[in-house]
Amino acid sequence: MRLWIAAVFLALAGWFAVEGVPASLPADLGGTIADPVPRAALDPRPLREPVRDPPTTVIATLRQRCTDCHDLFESRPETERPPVQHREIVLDHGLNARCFNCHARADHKSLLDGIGALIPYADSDRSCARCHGPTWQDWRRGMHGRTGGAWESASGAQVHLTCVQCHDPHSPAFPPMAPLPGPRTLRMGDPGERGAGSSPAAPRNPLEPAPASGSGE
Amino acid sequence: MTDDGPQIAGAGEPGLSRRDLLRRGAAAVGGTAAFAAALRPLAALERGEIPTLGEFLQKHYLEMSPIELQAALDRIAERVRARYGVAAEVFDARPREGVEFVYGLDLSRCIGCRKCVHACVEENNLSRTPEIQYIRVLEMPRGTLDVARGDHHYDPPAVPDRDHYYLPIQCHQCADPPCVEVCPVHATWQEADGITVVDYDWCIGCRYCEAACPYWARRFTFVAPGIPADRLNPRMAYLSNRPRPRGVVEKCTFCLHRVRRGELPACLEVCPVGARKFGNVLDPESEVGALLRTKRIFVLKEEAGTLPRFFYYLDERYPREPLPPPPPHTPVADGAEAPEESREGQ
Repeated sequence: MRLWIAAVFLALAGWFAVEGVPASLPADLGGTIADPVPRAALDPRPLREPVRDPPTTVIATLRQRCTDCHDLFESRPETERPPVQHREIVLDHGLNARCFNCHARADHKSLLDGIGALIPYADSDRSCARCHGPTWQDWRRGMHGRTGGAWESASGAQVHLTCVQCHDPHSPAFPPMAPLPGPRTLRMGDPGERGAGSSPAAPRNPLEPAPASGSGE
Repeated sequence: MTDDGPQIAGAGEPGLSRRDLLRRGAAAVGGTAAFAAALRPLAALERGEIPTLGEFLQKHYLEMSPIELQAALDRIAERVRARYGVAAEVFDARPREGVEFVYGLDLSRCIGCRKCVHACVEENNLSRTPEIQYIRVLEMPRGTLDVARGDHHYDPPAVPDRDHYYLPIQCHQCADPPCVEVCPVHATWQEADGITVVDYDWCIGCRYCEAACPYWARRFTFVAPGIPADRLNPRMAYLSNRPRPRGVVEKCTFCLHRVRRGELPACLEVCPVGARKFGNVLDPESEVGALLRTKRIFVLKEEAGTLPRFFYYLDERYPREPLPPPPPHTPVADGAEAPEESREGQ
């Protein structure tokens, strides 16, 4: 009576032999491997290069120290924009619309901190702290801003980027950027699914190479 | 062979009846055919996929002696050299005493640029063809946490969009991980520093863990990962970013090969807005410790009860762009206008 077991095995064996195992799982998709994201887009270095001490600026393609001019000429009153110089600076810092809120009028290689003392450009965060105290406190504890290096000081040097390595002090809002390409993975659906306006594309099997026309190479 | 029991005289040699012969013969043929059919998938293996004897006899990661483990690491390095032509540094990174990793993500800072997604792909040797990504970034309408309304495929010319916020999701390294509980072969487990890992050589690919994960954090390698040889990260650990074989489950390990050597995860390092924070929660001086004490924290799907080690927080004190003007205010008292008080700034 156990013959039926053998019969089942035999039938299964015959079926496998005819049908074959699922051959739709290639070991390798072959061909070129698409990698749409260039390495440069993933550079973890800071976005901005801050002004170093002694502060300099580029005037007519020449790099000059601030003091080269400002030691000779007295600055204009802070209610006026200079008619010729520094026109490239777009001051978009909310209510903070005066040069000498942060820059020291008397000493152009320095900034002003919370009590009006002169500080070097290397300590510019203390100038920001005058108005952005809570954020500055967060930053000092590593809770605001970018970090790098080690996750604890015991296992290596910790890097805390300063305010001006991400924010332009004259226009501090973080600039919008283009997003990197979205997913074309198995389980996150097809890009064609989104949006009511776009026509839904035919569902694509991600295990098969993308059609040459559909996806940009 | 047996003394007891009645034996018919002369029935030793030709005792096999016709019926028995047919029955046993059919069973033998059927069994052999079924066995051959069961082995047939082996014929579909690529040449490089056939395991060597050493690989076949390799033990579970937790049961290997240091010598066996070193032999396994050497075998992996040899495989990588054969397949990609890259001399890889394959190492084993063990958890450190007194360390429990926690990850924080600032939802009010994240701009949805997807740099973390692709830095992760690059660092962890994830498959490019077909794409496998550990991190998902959902574009969410402001004012809701309903992930069903999120969109993976947003593609505006510039982010952030003022009507949306962005919710990156990856493995939450739960303290009570359901994915570990369902594994029938103990190929995945939680390490002492809180990172849940997979022994890719022990995984049978049943994908139970993938189904059990409430955060959708596990990925299955349907085919061998397609990685350009020049983009292979040669620094690889046994439990994290070595190239995976096909047919196993993989997941985010908080960049175990980096963080156990003191470095920060790749997704954190590349984040242009500093929305990601990582550290040792057992250290009260750490950034994550300070965040947990001072910020408004929440975890995703708290009701799942898996105690995630990945938390989200909100930091914004004022909107990025000016809000639309408030609806007109009807004064209650005669002539008493609402005082125009500026709440802007710190």
